[in-house]
Amino acid sequence: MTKVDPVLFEVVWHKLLDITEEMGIKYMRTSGSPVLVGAYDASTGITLPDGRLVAMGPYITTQAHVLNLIVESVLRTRSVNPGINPGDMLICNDPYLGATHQPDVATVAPVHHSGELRAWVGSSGHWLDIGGSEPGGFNMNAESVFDEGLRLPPTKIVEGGEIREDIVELIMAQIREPLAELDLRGQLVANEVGRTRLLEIADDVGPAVLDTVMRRGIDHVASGMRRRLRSLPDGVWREVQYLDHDGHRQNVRKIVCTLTKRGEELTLDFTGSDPQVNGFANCAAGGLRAAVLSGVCIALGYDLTWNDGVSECVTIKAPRRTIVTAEYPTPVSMSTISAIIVTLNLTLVVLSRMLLASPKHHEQAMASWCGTSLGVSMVGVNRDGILTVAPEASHFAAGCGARSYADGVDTGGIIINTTANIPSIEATEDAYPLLYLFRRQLTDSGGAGRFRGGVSGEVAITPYDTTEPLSTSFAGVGSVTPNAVGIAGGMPGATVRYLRFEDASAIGSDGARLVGTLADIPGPRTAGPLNSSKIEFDLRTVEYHNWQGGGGFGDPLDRDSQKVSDDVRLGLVSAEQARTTYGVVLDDGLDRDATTALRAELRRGRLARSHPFVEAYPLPKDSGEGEPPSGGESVGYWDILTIDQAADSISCTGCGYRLTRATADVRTGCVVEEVPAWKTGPIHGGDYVEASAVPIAMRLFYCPGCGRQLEVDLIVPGGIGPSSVVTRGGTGAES
Amino acid sequence: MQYVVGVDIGGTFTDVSVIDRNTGREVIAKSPTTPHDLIEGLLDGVQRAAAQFQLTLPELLAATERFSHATTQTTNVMFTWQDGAIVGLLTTRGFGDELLIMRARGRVAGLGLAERRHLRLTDKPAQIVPRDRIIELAERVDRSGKVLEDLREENVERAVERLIASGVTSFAVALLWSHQNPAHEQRVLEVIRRVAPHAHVSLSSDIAPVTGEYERTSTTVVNAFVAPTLERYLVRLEERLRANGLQVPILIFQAGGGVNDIPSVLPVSTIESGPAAGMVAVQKLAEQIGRPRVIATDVGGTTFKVGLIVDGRWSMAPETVINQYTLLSPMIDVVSIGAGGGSIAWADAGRLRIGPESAGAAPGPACYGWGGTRPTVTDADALLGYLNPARFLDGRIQLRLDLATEAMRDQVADPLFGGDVIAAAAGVRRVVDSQMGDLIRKATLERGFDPRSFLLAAYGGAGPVHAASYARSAGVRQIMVPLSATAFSAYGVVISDTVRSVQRSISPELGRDDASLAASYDEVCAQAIAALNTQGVSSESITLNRWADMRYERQLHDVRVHVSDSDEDGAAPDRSLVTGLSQAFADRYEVLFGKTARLKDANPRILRIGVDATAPSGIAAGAGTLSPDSSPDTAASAHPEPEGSRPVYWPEDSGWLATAVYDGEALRDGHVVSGPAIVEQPGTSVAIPPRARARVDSLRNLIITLDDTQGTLLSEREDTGAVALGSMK
Repeated sequence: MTKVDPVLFEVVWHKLLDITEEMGIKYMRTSGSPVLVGAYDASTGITLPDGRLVAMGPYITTQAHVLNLIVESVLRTRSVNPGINPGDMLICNDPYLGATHQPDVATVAPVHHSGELRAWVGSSGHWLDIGGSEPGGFNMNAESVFDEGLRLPPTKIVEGGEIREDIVELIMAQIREPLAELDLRGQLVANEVGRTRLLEIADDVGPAVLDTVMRRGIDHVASGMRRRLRSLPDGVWREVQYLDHDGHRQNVRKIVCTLTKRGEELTLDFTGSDPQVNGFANCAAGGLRAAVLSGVCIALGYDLTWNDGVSECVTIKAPRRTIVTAEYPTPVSMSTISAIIVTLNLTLVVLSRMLLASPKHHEQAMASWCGTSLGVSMVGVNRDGILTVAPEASHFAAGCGARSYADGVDTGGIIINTTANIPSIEATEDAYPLLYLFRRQLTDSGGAGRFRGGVSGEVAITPYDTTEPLSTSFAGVGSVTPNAVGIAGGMPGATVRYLRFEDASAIGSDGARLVGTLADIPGPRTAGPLNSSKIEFDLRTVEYHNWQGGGGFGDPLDRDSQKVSDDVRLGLVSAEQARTTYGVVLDDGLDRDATTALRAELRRGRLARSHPFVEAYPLPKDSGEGEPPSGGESVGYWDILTIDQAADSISCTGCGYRLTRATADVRTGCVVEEVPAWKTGPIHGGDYVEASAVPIAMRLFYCPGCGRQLEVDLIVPGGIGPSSVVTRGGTGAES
Repeated sequence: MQYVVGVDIGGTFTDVSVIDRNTGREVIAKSPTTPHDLIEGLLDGVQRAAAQFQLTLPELLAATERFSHATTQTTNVMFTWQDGAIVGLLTTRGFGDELLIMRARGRVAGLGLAERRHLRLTDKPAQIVPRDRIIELAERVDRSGKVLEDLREENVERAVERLIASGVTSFAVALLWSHQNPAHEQRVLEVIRRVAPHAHVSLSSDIAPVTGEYERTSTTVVNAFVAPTLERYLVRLEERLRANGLQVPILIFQAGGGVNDIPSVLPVSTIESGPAAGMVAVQKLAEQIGRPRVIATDVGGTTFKVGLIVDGRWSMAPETVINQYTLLSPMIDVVSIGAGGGSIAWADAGRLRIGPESAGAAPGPACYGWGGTRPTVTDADALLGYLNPARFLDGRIQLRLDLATEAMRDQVADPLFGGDVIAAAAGVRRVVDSQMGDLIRKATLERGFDPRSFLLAAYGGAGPVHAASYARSAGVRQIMVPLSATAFSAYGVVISDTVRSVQRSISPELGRDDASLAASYDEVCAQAIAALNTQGVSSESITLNRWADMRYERQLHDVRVHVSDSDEDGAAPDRSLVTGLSQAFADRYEVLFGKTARLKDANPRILRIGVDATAPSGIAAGAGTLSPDSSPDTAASAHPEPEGSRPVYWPEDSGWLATAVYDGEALRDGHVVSGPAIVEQPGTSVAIPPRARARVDSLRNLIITLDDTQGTLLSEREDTGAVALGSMK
């Protein structure tokens, strides 16, 4: 590598980071898509000639993490024919070649300087439509990729600076929404800006310096990540998550991840995950990689530049043809809002459990954010007589995960999006034949805990200013499974509901009833079909949906009772839940004595109902061995457990009860009760439980000494669940 | 009545500028800001200015014909959460949470990329109105302004009584679609006036009558939050100034770039008005020296700010984020990054990082000797000889080079530069200057302009010290440092025009019809003129600048265009209003985004229109009037004598050069200074690098021309911010 002093490095590196943001701004401004501009569902990036990511823009992290694979696919398949030449750009949305799912289309441009390939720039974004039988790119009925939208293997769309208008037309001929052409052209503009700026730098400092800076930028991140890993505890952690709809049926499929951390090595092994299904909830290997790397960046790389320096420290293992490594021609078009976001949150949670075992790092831990996402759109004719597809994106205002010292942010955004943004009601009503009855924060949707998960939201909508019924399509998972799990004894956030009121009477006519809450919507209520399309949205119908809240942190009975009282006053928690879940008595204000008594009673009740836990799926034998207990110092697992290597014990910090050996799963020292998930909260899947083919339960682990809730796991009864073994305490110091 | 007075209260200093209109002479005074009672520092500053005219405070005020003022009172409320009003919000049933949801982006609004990526540390800002002071009213208006459900006054009464009972003193009213039909908000206003006659009321249809309920509500709520505080302050200020002899009304400077009298001022518009005052000063100077394009750069202790003057005018920000709240009130477009004199340099595993941490005023840079132990940009400047240790801030601080050396050596030089303190300091300067240059490039190129076609104005404590270097990095060749206005924002305040802006949203139907559109323009113009008339401005002196925010149908990005002048002066336009605007929009859009960034048959749509009605102040400082002995010194040669010389480190010329040092006070019209040179000013130093030449113009601006041989990162091209593909037609 060419020698570059720290000053020159910093000067050039800053310019590189600026480029990714400038590309994004150009892209957003060009596109008219509300998904892109209103919700920033896009990404931009710069890679090395071989595809390794150097820098990404501040948008959807998972889309940026696939640019590496897209470039690799382009190099593998197009180097000879048609060749990769200066001024070219290639477009690709093939999920088996790196793309997350078909609507997320990526365009990459080689950057040649003095005749040599020096870098790539790329942009990716969620298009309004990608063709196929359903508007918006989700075919709920798909059984194979052939039932889904247009699939583009790497295709040359710009050749030597000239746009291939034949290719543009070929693509647009498959797509019903003409506005998608702007999504396409926006990517070309963004890439051209990125390429021009990179070439300016190469002209100025020379291509060799540019190359060194890009590589060192990756190395710097890798070494920072290794230092951090060395300072963290060693051990094995297993986490299990679920997709409760495969596109056809309300089935429950599991994603199993075993995290092994030893020294500066981090391995995430997805062996044990269910086989791929013939519905669209799977993701392909590229999606899995994007989800895991995004989770690692968020949990461990929060102060580093996000690039492939992170991926150098992470090994991802997964058998082929599982629900997270689906292969051609298995459909994957819903992956971003099912397998990918679920895996990302799973990664965050499993890493948070590792962070909690390190006193120096435990404040970085977070419970799961809103566990899933939705794809909701309403098709109809607007007042100008134009057929419109209204993407309903309010669900991006989701509940964030609670922290070890603070509640999760209410309606703060979904985790895959660095810059969350939802459209305003007025902008949406202005463009589409819709009238909103309400958009609110949803009471009781934040996972209960000593620190509460952020609440999510709810909306109710009816057709307006149109003569024809609309048709709704509603894609998503997480209606019966509260995926947004809590941590260290916290409860999960709310599940997804899609409710329909088919006889709610027309709005705006005489005697019409406008209402402001779910309880006030008139007429009979039915649970809407998830992952369905062409659901008639009649003029008399009101549609309601809510999305998942964030997970809680710690035992809800440990929550400051004043905070519970405040939450009730502000409508974030119901008085009912304050009493039953938080044990707080509110009669004309907070009754502290009665609260103390009720909480003691609830703890006694827990112990009375529970029994010792026996792990039916112990972690592999060798994983628990590791090095001998080091130093003999005792470390905390947050402030609830004390891990004493010398005494070979884990004990409850609150009451001193010795739970188990230092290198055993703390669950094995707890007593446990198993409760159907829908009974653990007012919005924990009750509306869909009857339709679900598989029951979902929560395992609540208590300290036998004091009844404190130490862990809460989401499981299929009799199935495999989370497990943790710490083999060596981390020093905490990063050196 | 011969004096005009401008006062700008900043975080550290209260700056006063007074111009004697008979002679054109300007005097400047600085006084420490007094946070416990801003009026003390203000009076002290004005008194110091009066003394320079050999006047007492009452004598000056009695002879003052115009008193304009920019205050940080409201900014302080927003950043400290102290002294704000207890606000209650009345909104449409079903949407009481919109303010709290903040379109989800409130969690990260206004944060830098690094901050956004540390998800755990992101939170929404403190709530101005907690949920239990938000009351939803049963009522509904649709997008065209049609009433779907009537407002019932008894509901309003109950709500107002409940809020009053919970201590509310200031009401914000923000109903859905009220900008399309304000009738319901007006009726709520009547009820509040009846039930709570002393309460403050802010209506969203008055304050931000545009589509987007969150932004409209947020702007209205912030207005309600700061309004009573500002009002109390202004009442006291007016009393004190009147008691001291002032006979004219006080004019308040707003972030949109103009002043209004106290009854007309929009409180939310006074937030962050300081940077706008600097832009006004730059705009005026640009006009005087005949340069239509200027990049204004202000380097303070913690931030670097950039604004643009194009075609002789500034542009307005489409929205502003203050403490994570989005505001739609008119505000001059100024962008910033967290880099300034106080930014801390540190070694990060082999990397040289600057900021984002700042030493601020406490403990300050290491060289201040106030206990700071981490090296800052100012320490680097001192070590390299750019600052005079004995004369820093008028000698108020004796810079400690030993402490700067120690900090730089321990934390940057040893880990990164083999112990070479000077190489480290030069590195710090280069990195920070390059980052500033990147912001300049981004701010100009993103708006469709090439920085090479601009003059760069540098002010603020550290601006002139770094300008040559960051200008060069951005490809700018000429720099202007105003020698006559060290209290530059106060100068902007004293000369500022009286401006009233009125805007409104336009429905698609209306925007297609020339007659209706013209009628709408007439209405907003009439409103703006009436608002100025009530402030005693005569209609003849008002100039109207009409604009429209437009976009292509079904696209989401807005572009502001102005109604062309030929239409404005009453001459019969040879094309319709709609056609003219559409053409202007299409042209501007193409400059910004390129030719292909739209559907082939897309039609432009007018989203909102507005007018900026301006009554020019006609005030400017005359030439060479800074001090009493400032008449042009005809005897002096073009090359003034330096005051002395000291070694300064110029990295481009591989090291230390004996550098002439000039006293800025002594420089006169026509003087030429060749680099390398340092011009010392009361608040700053101007660095003139080798091969650059600086000339003093008749307004006592130092115009520095850099050599053209330096490499830049730009290819030669004019106004092609949008990089278009060859065939994207």
